[in-house]
Amino acid sequence: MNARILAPALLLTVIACSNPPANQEPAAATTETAKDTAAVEAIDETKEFKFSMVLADIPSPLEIINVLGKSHARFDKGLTNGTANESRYTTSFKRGLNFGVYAIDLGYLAANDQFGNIQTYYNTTKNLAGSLDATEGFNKVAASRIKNYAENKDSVMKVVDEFYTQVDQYLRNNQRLQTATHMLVGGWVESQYLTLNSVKGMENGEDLKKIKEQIFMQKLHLGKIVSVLKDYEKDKEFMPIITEMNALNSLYQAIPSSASIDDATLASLTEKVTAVRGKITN
Amino acid sequence: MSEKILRALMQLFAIIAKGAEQPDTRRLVVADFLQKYLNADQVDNYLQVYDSFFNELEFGTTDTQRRKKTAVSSVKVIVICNQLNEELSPRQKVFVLLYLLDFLHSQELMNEQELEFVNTVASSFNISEGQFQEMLDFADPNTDPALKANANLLSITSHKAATDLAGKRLIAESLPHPVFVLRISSAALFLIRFMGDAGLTINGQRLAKNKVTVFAPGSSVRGNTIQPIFYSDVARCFMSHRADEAVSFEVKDIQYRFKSGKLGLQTLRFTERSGHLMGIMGGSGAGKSTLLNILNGNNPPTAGKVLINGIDLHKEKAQLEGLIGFVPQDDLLIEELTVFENLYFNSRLCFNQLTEKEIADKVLQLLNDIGLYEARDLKVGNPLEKTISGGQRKRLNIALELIREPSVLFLDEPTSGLSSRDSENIMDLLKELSLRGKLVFVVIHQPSSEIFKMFDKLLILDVGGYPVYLGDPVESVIYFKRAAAYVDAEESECLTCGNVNPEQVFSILEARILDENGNPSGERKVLPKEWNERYQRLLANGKSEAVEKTKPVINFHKPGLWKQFTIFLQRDFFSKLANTQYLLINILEPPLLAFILAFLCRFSLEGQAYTLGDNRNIPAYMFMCVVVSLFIGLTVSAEEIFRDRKILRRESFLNLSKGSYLFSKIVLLFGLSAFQMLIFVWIGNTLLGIQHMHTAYWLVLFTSSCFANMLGLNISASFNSAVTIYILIPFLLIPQLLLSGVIVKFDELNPIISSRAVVPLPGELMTSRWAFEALAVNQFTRNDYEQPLYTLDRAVSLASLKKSWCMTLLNLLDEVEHSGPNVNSNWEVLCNELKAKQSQNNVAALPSLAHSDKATWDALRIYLEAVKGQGGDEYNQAIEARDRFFVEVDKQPGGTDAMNELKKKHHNGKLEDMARNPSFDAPTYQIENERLVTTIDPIFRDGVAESGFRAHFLAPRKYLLGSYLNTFEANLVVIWISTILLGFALYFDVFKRLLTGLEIQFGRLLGMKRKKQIK
Repeated sequence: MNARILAPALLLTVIACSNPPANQEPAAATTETAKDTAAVEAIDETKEFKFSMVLADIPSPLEIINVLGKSHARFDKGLTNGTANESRYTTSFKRGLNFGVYAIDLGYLAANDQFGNIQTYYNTTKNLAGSLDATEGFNKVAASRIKNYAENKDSVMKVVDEFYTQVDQYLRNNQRLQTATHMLVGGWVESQYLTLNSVKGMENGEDLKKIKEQIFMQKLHLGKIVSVLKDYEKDKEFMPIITEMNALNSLYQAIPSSASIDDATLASLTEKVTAVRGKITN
Repeated sequence: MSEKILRALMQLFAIIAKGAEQPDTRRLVVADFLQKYLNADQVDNYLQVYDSFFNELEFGTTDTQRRKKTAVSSVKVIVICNQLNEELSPRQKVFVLLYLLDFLHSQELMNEQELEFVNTVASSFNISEGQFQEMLDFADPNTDPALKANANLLSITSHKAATDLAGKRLIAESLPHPVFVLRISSAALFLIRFMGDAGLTINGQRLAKNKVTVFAPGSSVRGNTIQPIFYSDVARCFMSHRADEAVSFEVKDIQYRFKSGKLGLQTLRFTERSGHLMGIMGGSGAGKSTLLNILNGNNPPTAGKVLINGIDLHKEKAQLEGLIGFVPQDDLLIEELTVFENLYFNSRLCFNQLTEKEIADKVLQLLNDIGLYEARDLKVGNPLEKTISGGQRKRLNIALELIREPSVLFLDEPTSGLSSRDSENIMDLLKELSLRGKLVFVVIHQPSSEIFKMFDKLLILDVGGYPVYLGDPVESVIYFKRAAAYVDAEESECLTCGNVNPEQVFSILEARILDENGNPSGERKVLPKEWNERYQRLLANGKSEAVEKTKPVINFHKPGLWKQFTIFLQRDFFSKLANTQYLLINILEPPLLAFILAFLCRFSLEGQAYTLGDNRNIPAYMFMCVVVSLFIGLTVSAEEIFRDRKILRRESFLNLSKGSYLFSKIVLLFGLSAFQMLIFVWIGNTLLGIQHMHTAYWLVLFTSSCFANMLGLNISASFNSAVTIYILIPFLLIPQLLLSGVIVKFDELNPIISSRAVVPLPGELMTSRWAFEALAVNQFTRNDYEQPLYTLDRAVSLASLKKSWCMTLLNLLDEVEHSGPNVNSNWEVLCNELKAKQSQNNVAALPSLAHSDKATWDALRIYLEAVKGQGGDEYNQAIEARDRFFVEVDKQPGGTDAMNELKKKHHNGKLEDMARNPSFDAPTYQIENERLVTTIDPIFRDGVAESGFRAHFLAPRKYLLGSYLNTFEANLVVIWISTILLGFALYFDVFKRLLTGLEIQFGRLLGMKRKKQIK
């Protein structure tokens, strides 16, 4: 596409899309440098701008889950990250990552009508949000709504999508970019993990074709994510994951087209994704 | 005279007569003798008996034969006498001997044989030789007893004849001829012999010249010219008094007016000296108890005074402490202790100067004297479960006072409810006391004739407190009969049996007027006032007694406060130890409750092993622990003081220290609480896996249990009945349950009371709240898992709250901007909050808040954003610190998993919910009283300085006088302070006075209502 049109278009999209709550100043207007304290995350408008710009058109990882749900892919509860693992996520880094993971798992359950476990996963996700001080997002989505719509797939999906977005926005709008990034990475990896592991042994058909298209699209998304991750390479905790993501990226970039995704490709992708996911959920 | 004695006498006479030279004369003498004592029929009867005995015996004619027979007959005599020995009391034996002597003296001379014979009899009766000789001389009509003066001889003469007689002397004015009295100590009676011809009677019988008569207790010698000579007057002369024990008790015109204004006791005046037994009688409502309480020093009279040896009893009480003994009608015994122990502990409170061994000996000695020695190790028990009889109980009660040997002893109806034998035993005891020199006052009802005669003086009160008689008891019958103009007024005793009927006095006293049908109406013939006037006239004629002026010696040495405390403690401890039921319940209750509680609360997730972390009932368990401690503490102590109230009254009478008593009770109960809570915590906590916190739990539960103990003691001391006390317990506990902050949260109470910023006032008053808060805060912040994390978590929480605070204020600012420049409540809140938190938000300077206008608003917005940024920075720093900690943990052996294990073992999830109180529905900050308040994360927020000591529930630290105190320690201190305050209330009887005041007010209200109704 023509880069000259793209940039301002994206910029406009960003301005249009980012609707901060009334009492929040748009990040661009912040000029004060008084906050230059020894903080891990200095308010860097460039970073933020880049983040928003770059990630603006990456859809929520829930989208692929939706597709997965609509297909006849086999549901495997064992794929989701067990809620008991929550106690192992003691640092904010791990919490951020796994918040994304659990949110995606929640979507996965909802998409497959597994309403029995929804409450548990919701609680876990909520807890993690609490420990990340991101409950404002949840405040806007009353817990009762989950309960009330428990048996209605579409409504639940909608709710999950809503709070995922809310939390993400909240974090971004409150200078919590790092956490937002963690969330994004965790969510994206989990979505790929679930997808890739579900298509194993699936018959060739419309469904598989659609899923393969979705997988191919990730090539673009992953590229963008990796570019954002470059800014975090100094982070010791994050570094191992980033390395893995980079390796994964090279795998994805090597895929020419959705049709060319064959079993071997799937196998290698699955292996790599599983490895990254393992590091995240460990 | 009993048949046995007569038969024995006949036998003996027969033996004597047989050996005599003129048996027929002897027979005449026997007949003569019998006629003196018996009626005609009986004389013939016994003469026949005599004859048959006489004929049985065979005596020889020659001297040797006779001597042989005499020897044989001596043996016979001894045999008879031995038989008699077993059957006769000492008194009766003296009687027999007397009759023998009388018999022998009926002829002029006693020959040698007869003398020997009588000697034999005397020795086989175990009468000492010396005594027998005295008897012999005394009974010899030819000897003048005056010449053979000895220690056992008393001469009663008129004043004039007194000079030339030696030995003991009793003066009886206008006595024409001397009367001699010989004491027979072995039989405790006296022999009396009149040297004159006529004019004297003893118990209504004429005293013959030179004839020896027995002078028994209750008897009196009367004559026309003299005042009656009573047995006790005579007995007293033989008592040796120590001069320093002599006491004179003067009652000078005392009067008593009740609080209502009514006169309870009319003017009374008398004097008594030691060595007398005075009885006080009267119908119901006569004022006996009132009088008793005045005389023993309890209540001061409204007029007049009571002097003991010249010292005013009521005004200078301290000088006479320990002189007076008082035995009330109630039982003052401690049921669980034995007879010995009761007396022993009581004595230790009186004899500080003796060692414990000496006291024990004294106690045993006294028990022996009053006949309780065999019962000494029996438990006293209560009237329903008798271990010792009623008579023994009464004697023990008296012994409690006796051991001190008070010079003046008051008894309130000591014989009520006892059998006649027991009553006599007790009165004998009292009589003996009076003879030994004590002054004894007894209030008595319906005495038997025997007892009636024992009194030296009798005071009779009539309804309304009017004294109507004071004098000799037997005389009283005559007095009243004369007053009622009875024909046989001079007869006080029954002529045959000597019985006096005290009821006669009262039937005359309270005689009613008969109505037209001849039935007694409600009105008295003679009013008390009239009897009183008559009495006044009688008094005017009486003589006044000499009064002692020296200070009496007091045998009462009260031990010091500390010693009293130890004695009380020992006594209470042993009494509790002896009460098996009490012990069992109080020792088994805590472990049982702990087990049940912990067992039921031990929740674990399905299919998983039990962990403390997953147990959802831990807050409930903690709450129940507090409730149990309060409950146990209260029930253990509720009845303590109430049970002892009679004993307390007595001990206040003895001026023993109330403080020592209370302190001993407190120490004992606190000790029990400590022990109970120890078992409780040990079992409960172990069962639920609460580790390393036993001491902390024990401290909290012990503290709250002690508080409950103190509260219970206060109730115990304030109420009149046990039932009332127990009914009160739920009323005390229910508020504690409700307002502890657990069952109903403090911000969810009735809005009038509830509060978010601080614990509402009713909650501040509940011990349960302080105790639970201490437990919860301690459990959360100091457990092995959370302890290193706490500061880190706290930093995160506070930073997060700061950010929320900023956002809320920014919202408020928007609203203020919308509503315009007028000052409204939002603006107020804004200003208050900004000013209050100014010091913490030091990233920028707070703009001036003088005006609410656009400029200020803009400046504020900038300020708030700055603060929010600061909050964000603080948050990030805090998160990073916390993350660093966990990264370190991961590097340790075991890593995060080991940490999680630790968390499961020590950190409870439900408690964390309670302590952090996360809320996903409501906004973090809300407006209350023009301030912003939050209920989130109470466990991380300290109490604020501006609230003083008051803080929100579950605050980890509280602010006091410039520094922060840890909640755990602060709460404990608060509870202890309230316990100490209750202690003071107990000592000063605060609740009791409040109650009495309320009762009076209430009574007045009802009284007024009733009056209005009647009108």
